[in-house]
Amino acid sequence: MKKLIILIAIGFFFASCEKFLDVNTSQDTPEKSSPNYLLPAVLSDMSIAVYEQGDMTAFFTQQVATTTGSTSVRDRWDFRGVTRVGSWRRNYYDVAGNANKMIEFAEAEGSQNYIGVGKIMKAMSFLMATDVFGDMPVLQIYTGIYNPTYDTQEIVYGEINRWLDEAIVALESSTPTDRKMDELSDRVYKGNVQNWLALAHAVKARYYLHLNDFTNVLLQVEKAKLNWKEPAFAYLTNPENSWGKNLFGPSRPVPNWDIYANSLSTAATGTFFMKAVTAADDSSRLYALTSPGKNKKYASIHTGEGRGITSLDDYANLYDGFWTKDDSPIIYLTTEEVYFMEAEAAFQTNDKARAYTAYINGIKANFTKLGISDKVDAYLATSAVAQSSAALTLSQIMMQKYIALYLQPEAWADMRRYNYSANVYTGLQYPVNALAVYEGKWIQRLPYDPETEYKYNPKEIERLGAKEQTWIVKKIWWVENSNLGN
Amino acid sequence: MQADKTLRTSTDGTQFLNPDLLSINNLKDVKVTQATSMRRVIGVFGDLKFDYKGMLILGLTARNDWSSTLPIENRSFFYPSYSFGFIFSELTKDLFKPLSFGKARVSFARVGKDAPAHKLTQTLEQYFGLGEGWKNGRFAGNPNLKPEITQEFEAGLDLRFFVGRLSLDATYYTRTSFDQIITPRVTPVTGAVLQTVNSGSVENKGLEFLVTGIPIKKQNFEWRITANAFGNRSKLTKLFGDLVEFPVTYGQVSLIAYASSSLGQPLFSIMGTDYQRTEEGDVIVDAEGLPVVNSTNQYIGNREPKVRFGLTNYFRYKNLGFTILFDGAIDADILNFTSLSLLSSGQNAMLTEYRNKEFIFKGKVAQPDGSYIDNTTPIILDYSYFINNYAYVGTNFVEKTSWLRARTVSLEYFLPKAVASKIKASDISVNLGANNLFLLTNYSSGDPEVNSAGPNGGGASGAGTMGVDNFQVPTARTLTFGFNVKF
Repeated sequence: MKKLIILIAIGFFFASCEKFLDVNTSQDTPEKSSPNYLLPAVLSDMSIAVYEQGDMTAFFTQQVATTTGSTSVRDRWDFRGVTRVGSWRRNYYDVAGNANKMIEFAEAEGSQNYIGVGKIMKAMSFLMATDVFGDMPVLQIYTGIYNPTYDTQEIVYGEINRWLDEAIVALESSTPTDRKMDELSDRVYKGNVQNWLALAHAVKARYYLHLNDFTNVLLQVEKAKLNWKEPAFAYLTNPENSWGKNLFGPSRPVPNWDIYANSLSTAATGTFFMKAVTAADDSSRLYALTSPGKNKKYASIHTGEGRGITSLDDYANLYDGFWTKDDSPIIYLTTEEVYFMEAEAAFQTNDKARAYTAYINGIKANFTKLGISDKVDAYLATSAVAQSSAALTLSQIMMQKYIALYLQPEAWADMRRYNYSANVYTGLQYPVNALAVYEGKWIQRLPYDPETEYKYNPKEIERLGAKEQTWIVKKIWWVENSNLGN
Repeated sequence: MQADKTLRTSTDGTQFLNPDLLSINNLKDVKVTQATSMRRVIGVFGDLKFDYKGMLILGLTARNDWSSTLPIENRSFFYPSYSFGFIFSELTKDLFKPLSFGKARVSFARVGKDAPAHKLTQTLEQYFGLGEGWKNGRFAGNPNLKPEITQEFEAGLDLRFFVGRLSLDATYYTRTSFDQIITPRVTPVTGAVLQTVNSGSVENKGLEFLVTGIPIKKQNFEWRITANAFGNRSKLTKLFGDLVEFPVTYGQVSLIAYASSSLGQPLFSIMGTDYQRTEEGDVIVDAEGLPVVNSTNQYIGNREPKVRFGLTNYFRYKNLGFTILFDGAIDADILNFTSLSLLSSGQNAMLTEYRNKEFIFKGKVAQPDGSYIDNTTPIILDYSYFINNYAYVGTNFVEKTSWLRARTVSLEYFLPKAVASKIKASDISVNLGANNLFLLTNYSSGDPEVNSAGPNGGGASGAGTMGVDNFQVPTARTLTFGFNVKF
């Protein structure tokens, strides 16, 4: 009897050991959540992604230039001392990584609306990332592999297109029984599925535009315009926290350690942009995009020249313009972009009448956005604007788009697609301080994030030749395939 | 059985609203996070000892642990140790009188270690931004974690002569760690930023000596000497994934020279740039007389000293005791970032000697036929040279350093027992001590014994920032006065 008791006691002891050790699940952070609690982070991080790229590429497109003329990245395209390229992590971890988790949770409960929105954000984030990095992993993402294969950009594009198609299917099959999406979870469209569908088509239009597939651009623009509403991420007017402020704003918020304060405090209007935005002596948009400097003058700087002996007070203040207030919105894809995509694609397919209408609509939309619609008629009458479809040139379309996409990363995609052509971007000049090792070639891409990629995936980096300093002047796949502008 | 539970609530914020009110209530961007950590371990331990005539001693221990922090299939891990001692003085005591004790020992031991808690799966974390909610956590899960194992072999000799007046202890060891558990960055392509992994293997081997002697031992006067010396050699033999280098998190003072561990090199390496060199190791100089920089980072120094040593002398005269302890190290490479910073701001003392002086670099100039001749072209060491050439060479800021320090000098006086017993104390003493009285070194900046971010500065196997001088404040010289009463 005694023996039996001891045996039973031992049995209980081992059984309870398993239980005793079963404490490795986190008590404060869940592994799962309903998708509506993940969407805010996806949308907010997408705004950061747009800001983060724009804050760098606007210097490459010469919309702005540094006042010193000698910064490493923005003037000399010298990335040797750079330890972080944030856009890499922003895509894989923050935006697409979160969207991917959200899609997972939405699929588990069958919420088609959240699946669709998640796939649009994932596709848009990857599109923005591959457009600055070129080849990158897409087939082995989120698998736990430390040294994923870098897929060709062609493959990356294929996946993006698939995600967008899947997003459209999901959104079209969304029903009212789906989990509620409202202004609490969706700060962009308040859960309006039709608006999201329109955005999916607009992103597809942008996608086809990069491939110079103008017929499909026109098809997608058509569909995008049906229920179009701008995907604007609004910031707060008087926020308590810095994450309530637009990152381009004058208070230069740094809501998290991985975000850089914007570069506009030590920058001025670029000379090339200045000529474009003040053509035919109409400066109405310049005044809306900037605020007056101390001397109320509007000097400008050509990239790399710096301000020299010109007083800082002679430049416009880049803050407190339409895009650069603390409470300015970040817009993922603007109405103007849709019109100018249509204008360019129609022009390239010889539909001059449609091109002209879209071109004029694009200019009007831009003036309206900047709050100066009263000035648009006067501007349309100036020599800066084509007066008829017969007089319209490709350069006029692209230059209007360039002005409308102030601080938007997509402006750099256009400029590269047209091979920095001085015929299209009339009078565009090479920066004076770019490193000699580039031999006069223009910047085409960003290096992969040195914080992880060059250390953790050295074989792939070696295979691509991404260690070479001249890697950043090597054209990405779709630029390589574009002969526009020649 | 062991159960740990940690509850942590942390609050952080960015700016003070009222500049002089140091309170959490006065912060912007307040983030409050709660974290509960639980870890439980069950251990079973056994110990066996065999003794043959006090001469042969065999010891065996065995231990098995079950830890909550590891996946169920890897949860249990066993680690034994074996030791063997042979007291050979038992055989020689009649043959060789001066040897009063002699023992040879060998041992082999394994030690297992579990992982940090809650690192098997990726969880969500709070999102601090507009709309709030959750976002994916920065730690990737790792469902395949294994315990970390360290294996150590040790052989030693313990000799005592003249009834303990002179003794010598020598030890040789090799220690290998496998599957070390670290939490490095991973590529965000995984969907996370960090991950706890079983990473590399590190080999350590070394020698340790300890000599103690009592040259004089009389009623009123005593002199004892203790001398020790040891040297360790480490090598990183494996890292996870395709990683070939693991930089120390807080040792990244500069891009031209930084604390790191890389495969096949010592754990406490310095990686950085050097001059281009000929096969014979001579610096290559260009036609203008400037040395040529090789901007590829390579192994340029070991921050761990070749030898560390200490020497203690203790004298006692009647009730007065005097101790003096020296210690030091030989041949440690120090990364002198202080020097690089001072150079950039034009304040490096070296500049007063060389600034704008004409100088001919010792080096070789390549000839069109591939041969080399000695450089004879002088250059002026101007601003441009220091900023664009000198400051880009990591090896210019790595110094092979040795030092000797008077660590402690102290004087102690014991009051006569009769005094002590008056207040029923067993001992009363007063002492006067001086720490860090002087330092002899060939190091050009402050104190070579630096560790700017401490042993937990991050890195493979917790390789800290030893030997990284980033405006380190030298060790203070202190004087102490003490009064000791024992009851």
